[in-house]
Amino acid sequence: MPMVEMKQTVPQIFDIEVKVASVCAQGLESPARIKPLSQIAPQELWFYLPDVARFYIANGREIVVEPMPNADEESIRVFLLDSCFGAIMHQRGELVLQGSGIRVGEGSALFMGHTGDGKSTLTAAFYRQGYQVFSDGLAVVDETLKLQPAYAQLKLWPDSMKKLGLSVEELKQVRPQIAKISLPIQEAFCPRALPVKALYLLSSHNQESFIFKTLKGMEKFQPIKNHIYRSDFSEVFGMQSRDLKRLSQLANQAAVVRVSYPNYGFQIDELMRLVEEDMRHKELIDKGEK
Amino acid sequence: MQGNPKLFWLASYPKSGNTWTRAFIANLLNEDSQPVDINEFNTGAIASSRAWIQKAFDFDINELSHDEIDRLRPMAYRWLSDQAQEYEYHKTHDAFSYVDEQQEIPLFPKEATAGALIIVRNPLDVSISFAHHSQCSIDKAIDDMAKTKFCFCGKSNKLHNQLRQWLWSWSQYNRSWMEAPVPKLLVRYEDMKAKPLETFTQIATFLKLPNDEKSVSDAIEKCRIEKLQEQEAQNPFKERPAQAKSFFRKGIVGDWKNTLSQTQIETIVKEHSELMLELDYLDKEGNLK
Repeated sequence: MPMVEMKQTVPQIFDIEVKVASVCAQGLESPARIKPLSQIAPQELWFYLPDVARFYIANGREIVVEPMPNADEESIRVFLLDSCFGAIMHQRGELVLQGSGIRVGEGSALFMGHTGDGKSTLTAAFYRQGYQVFSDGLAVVDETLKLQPAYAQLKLWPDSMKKLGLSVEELKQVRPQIAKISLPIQEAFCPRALPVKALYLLSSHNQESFIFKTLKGMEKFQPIKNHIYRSDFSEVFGMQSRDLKRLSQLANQAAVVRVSYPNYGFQIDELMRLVEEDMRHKELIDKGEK
Repeated sequence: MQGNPKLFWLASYPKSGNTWTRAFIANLLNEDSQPVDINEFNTGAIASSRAWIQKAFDFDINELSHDEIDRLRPMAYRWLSDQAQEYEYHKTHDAFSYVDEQQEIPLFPKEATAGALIIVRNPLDVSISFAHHSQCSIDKAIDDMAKTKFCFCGKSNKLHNQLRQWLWSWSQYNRSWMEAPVPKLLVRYEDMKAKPLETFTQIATFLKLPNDEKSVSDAIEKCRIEKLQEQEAQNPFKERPAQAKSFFRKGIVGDWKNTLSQTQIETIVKEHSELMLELDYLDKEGNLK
């Protein structure tokens, strides 16, 4: 299966093996926690997506996929890239956050938020302005507090593409069942890890104002913690204390800004302009720099 | 493993008193002498909350279609009910539907459902409030209330914070819950206004909440419409649609008499007469009450 979202490295070293093989239909031998379609144990995750595949992720280095009959390749790839790699990064002891990242000078900035809070759209707005992109949706922060490059694609809903003035022509849906578009960004992909300089916590509200609040000291910690990707993974995988330590270091290193924007008529250009202005004010980027 | 069902559904067509009911529950459970903040009615997530359903799965449900998610929702509710330590009270605008073609798997499974409180309101008054809430004309609201395929958050070109909710028409919505094979109590908004102590005591009893007279009276007093409006004037309510001026409006019974045209009244009655008769909004001769 071609993985166009991934950048090939030179030399071609790999330390995660992905293979297509049979996955036990009943799940794990000794699960520590069971959900309707998934089971988790220390260093193991099993999940089943009806009509798509069964997945088994183990020890931070092995992913086994058993496609279901008639499953399409795109669907398997979507869940492989997000859910499986998100889990495997947890197993490897990396800090995995719900966020999208761009390059700002010699550092990186992360846009964090919950589903539908505009992370991808804001990242795409910066991409459209010529900024380099690290990741969309999943953000991996390594032990040196650098944001790791993830996939060379943005995933956007047609409504967001339209708001950004981006054409959907000749672009593919991420999977046939949904209208979300895969926007390849090979030329704007940032291929090297850079220190996280700022985290913008996005949320919308039913007021007309844009509110920016730079958090100080201890108040920075909990909001970042709230955006750990599948935080219960790190608990079962035994990575909780490592995650908390890294979160604390990250809160010390990076500026943390809470951003509330009007939820009616998503004003993406204005939001981007204000975030960019805040980045300049914090001297994360020079005037005119991208 | 299925324990006792822990999820109560507060089922109502929009603008029928659901938020008022949640305000009552929140105040009934709160021992503080001050009314609960309107933005802190934490009785439970709305049943269509994407974030709440996501908790039950270790893969990203944002990558699934509306139909695919619908098929997963019953198992999510079963799991969420199993995880709940106490009874939870979840608002829903979803009709009681089935997620499979054979009509055998209900969206709200009985293993998760402690009960359904069905709150109904005269559709003549609903139409006015619904139009205000949606910032549309009353005619448009009346039209939507008659659509058999009416839904919220059903667009496929964007991601909604909430999952798709099939409401169907006002009559179909209420009928679906009235016929749902789960423990249920139906209350009328009009009775909550006219006979508050009696009606809210029934509600509290059904929802397994404190139901002594003092507790119920105190909670009713704390969530009077004037008090909710007063709070909203001080601090915007997070559930107010951005384009609406306020969430807590008049809340009066019979506003239709001063607001709706004769044609609008006739349209609603023609569309919903059967259920309006059953719910005592019409008499046997077809006269409005």
